[in-house]
Amino acid sequence: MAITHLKKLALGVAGAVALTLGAAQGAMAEDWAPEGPVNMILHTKPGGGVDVYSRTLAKELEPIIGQSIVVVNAPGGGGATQMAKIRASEPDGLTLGVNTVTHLTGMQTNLRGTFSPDDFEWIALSQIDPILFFVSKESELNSITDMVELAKSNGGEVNIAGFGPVGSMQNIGMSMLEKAAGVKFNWVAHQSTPDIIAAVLGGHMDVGVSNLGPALEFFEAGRLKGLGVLGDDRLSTLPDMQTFGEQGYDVDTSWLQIRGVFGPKGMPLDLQQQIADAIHKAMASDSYQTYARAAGVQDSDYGPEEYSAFIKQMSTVAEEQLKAAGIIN
Amino acid sequence: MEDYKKALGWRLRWDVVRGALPVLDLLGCAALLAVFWQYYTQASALPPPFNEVDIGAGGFPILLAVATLIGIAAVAIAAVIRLLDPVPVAWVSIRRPLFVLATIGLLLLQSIYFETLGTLPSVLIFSILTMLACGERRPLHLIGVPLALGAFIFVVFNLALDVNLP
Amino acid sequence: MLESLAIGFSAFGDPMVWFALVFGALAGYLIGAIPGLGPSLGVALLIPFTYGVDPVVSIVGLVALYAAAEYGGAITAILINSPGTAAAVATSWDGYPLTQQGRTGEALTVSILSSGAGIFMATLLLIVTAVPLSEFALRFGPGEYFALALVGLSLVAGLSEGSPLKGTVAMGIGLALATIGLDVQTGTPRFTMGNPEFFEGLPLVPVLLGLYALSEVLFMIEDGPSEKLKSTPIGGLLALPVKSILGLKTAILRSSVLGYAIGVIPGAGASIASFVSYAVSKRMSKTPETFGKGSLEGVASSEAANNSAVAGALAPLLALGIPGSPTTAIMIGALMVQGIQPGPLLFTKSPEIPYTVFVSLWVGVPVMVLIGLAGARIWAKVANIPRPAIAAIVAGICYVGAYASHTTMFPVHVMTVFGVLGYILRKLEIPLAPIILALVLGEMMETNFRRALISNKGEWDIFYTSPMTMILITIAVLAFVLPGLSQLRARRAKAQAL
Repeated sequence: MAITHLKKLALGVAGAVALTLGAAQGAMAEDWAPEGPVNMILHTKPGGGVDVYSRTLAKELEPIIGQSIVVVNAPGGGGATQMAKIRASEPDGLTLGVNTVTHLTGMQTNLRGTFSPDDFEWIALSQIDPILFFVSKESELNSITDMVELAKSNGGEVNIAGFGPVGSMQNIGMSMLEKAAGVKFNWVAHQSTPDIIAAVLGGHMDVGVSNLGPALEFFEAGRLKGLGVLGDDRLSTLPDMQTFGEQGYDVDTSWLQIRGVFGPKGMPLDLQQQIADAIHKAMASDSYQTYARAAGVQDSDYGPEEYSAFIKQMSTVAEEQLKAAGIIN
Repeated sequence: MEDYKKALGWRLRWDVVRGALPVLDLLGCAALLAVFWQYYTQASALPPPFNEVDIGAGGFPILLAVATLIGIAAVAIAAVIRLLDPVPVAWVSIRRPLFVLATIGLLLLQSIYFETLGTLPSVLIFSILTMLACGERRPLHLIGVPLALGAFIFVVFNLALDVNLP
Repeated sequence: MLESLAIGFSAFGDPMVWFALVFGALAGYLIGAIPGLGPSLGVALLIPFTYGVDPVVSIVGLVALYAAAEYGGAITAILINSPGTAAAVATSWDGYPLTQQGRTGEALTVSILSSGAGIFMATLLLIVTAVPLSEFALRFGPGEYFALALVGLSLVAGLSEGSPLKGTVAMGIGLALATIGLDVQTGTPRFTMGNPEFFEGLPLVPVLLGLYALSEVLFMIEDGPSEKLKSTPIGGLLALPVKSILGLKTAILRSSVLGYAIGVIPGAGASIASFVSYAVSKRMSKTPETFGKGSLEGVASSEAANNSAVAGALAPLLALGIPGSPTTAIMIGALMVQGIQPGPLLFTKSPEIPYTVFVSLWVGVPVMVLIGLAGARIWAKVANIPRPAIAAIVAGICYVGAYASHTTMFPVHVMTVFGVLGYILRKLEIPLAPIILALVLGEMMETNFRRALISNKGEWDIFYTSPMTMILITIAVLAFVLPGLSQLRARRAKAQAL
């Protein structure tokens, strides 16, 4: 089945970037040397997670490629403004974009017919970030099983606060759990992770969903309890929290939040590989590593081939899930 | 020129357009009524929620449209009452209407051609035209102000803040 | 606590920290004064400069910029009736009439002093109450947030000039505009006319620029090149400040406390704070009839509140890692670049950050006030620039500012359309403040309304079973009904007199 194949793909991701980097560098004869300043176009406003990621990466990338990188914020249209700019640009490596899972779900829903994954080249995956379910420390729930039992006993009345509307990345994660456990939860959409944490801490929502980074401090302070993480392995920073699989829920563990770099269609594969190598080299720098560990994300070393396959798989999963949820048909 | 704040009576002249506020209110209400009716129909056509405890994408807009339609009707009724009332009505005037219309045209043109012309040329051209529309005729001002403005924008936005301008 | 404060003060032994403070205050002051650039964009633009700088230095610079930019919005509100931020809308109600009376310098002096006093007071409260108040604010659930948004809206609909009925319709227009975009709960596009540019909703800053600044340009065109009132020069560096601050001390004190308390609640922010304080000051004033016609008390209330809300918004950020405003949300990004993740452990893990922030807010007050007082003299002269030149300058900066806010043309188109619309609405005497506030609060209102219903099995009792929600909704209804009734009475009396 597609899911197991995808699992294999996602496996060798975390951890030893430095090692694989060395190998990748050796294999490549030429380094990326763009002829002019590189535009890196974002789909968000300045100051958010994507912005911080891009600017940290750009700063380390500049000395490697010997050119300046201009980070351009082009928010709007759920990524449409950014994708339009990238699609219209020359495939010379001087215009790149940063993408997340939102681009993929968007192409299946609101931007369906406007953009598709085939309009772009997917150059490098740089961060992966599993989602986890958590409750406040006063909660009676201690595991995913408790949450499922509660939902069974009172007909879906478990309020789950997560980022984005029905059909968003985290919501799809929840519906996959619903399917595996045979229950229904109550999705309550929020617009930022701090909002979700505040709602859970205040007892207004039963369960929260987020990535590790923004919630990490709250775990360390003992204010939040983890129920489970949607991934193959437990998180190294929260070793006590079990994965969904360990608790007996068979959910596709490749459903991760991602940050990667993409560009316009028709970019030569050599060039893509060079760009990917430069990016992964920049990620090995101290300042990037400090940032990435503080942000709680894991590194990935996927180059163009692996990343394109990964995007294809993820789009398929997104389409299946959105169809199953009745959001698209 | 007459004191526009106290002047009364309908006017449609090159230097002033004037009308009674309650009558204009009724016109405005008619326009808003059309807009909110459209808003209501679009809101009703939105898909139902996935979760039956939600009121759906259209729920809040429908509530809002109904409340606002009532409000618009109330403003219209108040306008009618004021027309029939012994208290004298308020008058609204637009002075220099042709210049106002020309400036609206300028603003629209600027929003269309801002990117094509580039920041500095469009700022220079349109600030001269705006000053002319506002009645400035001294050549030194007409040249000096746009140049100073252009220089200010270049220094602040381009050099200091590093914004990517067209 | 004293020891920790000493850590904060010791940071100021480093000349780089002083440089960051002065630079941040100056940059914030200018950014706030330029239409289209506000505190959140200012902080975002400064973030790239903070890479590679010491965390303490960068946070001092950012906080100074935030506070000064929040003040800077008042300058355009007073000078040209175009508030730079939604929180300065109430400032324009009295500030601009003062300019029309030739009292620009006085209005600006009062505004900067109240802002400084507001920050000073609120910082004192921040040090003592940041942790307990932030914990209390967590008790605000969706029902309470909905009710709070309602209070903000009802106050402004009741307060704004002209008929309360038109205020209500204006509120409806603003709320309807706020529903444009992708639905937050279901992701369905609403009222977007099939254009993806509208998916993320109408951008606030261009709408604000259009409604206020561009429509004001059209009003200037109407006035033409005719002579205008010269503003009176301000004499004596200290005479006016001391005199005015003594006369306004109760209003400033009250507004600072209110502004701080409202600022602590995440999402409520400076705009509700300034409207609520303005409303309360008007109710408690000895001369409520001067409000809206050039009352220094009105300017002081609005400005003290919106700046103390800055300190308020920092409380949940420092105590819990939950940003209280869009600007503080961006500041989290800046801290993360430095490897600092704000959260409940910030006070224990890196106490130098919160305590340096406290101290820098204090030290920043005199710096900011001096810049502001000096600026007031310059701006008062700006008020004397011939009208055609002002019209051209405002229009030009609006276009560039709108473009810079997203670096695309979409906000420019939005601004232009709302410029023309704002002109028509003002001619029809439909107040603009409810439209802006409804646009700011609309999303908070709808999402919390629906969150409340969804998390309560679709039952509506959530809006009247919680005592806090009940109280807030009662206040909202009263604030809505009372001004309308009193106006009706006034009209009857006038009719009988004839």
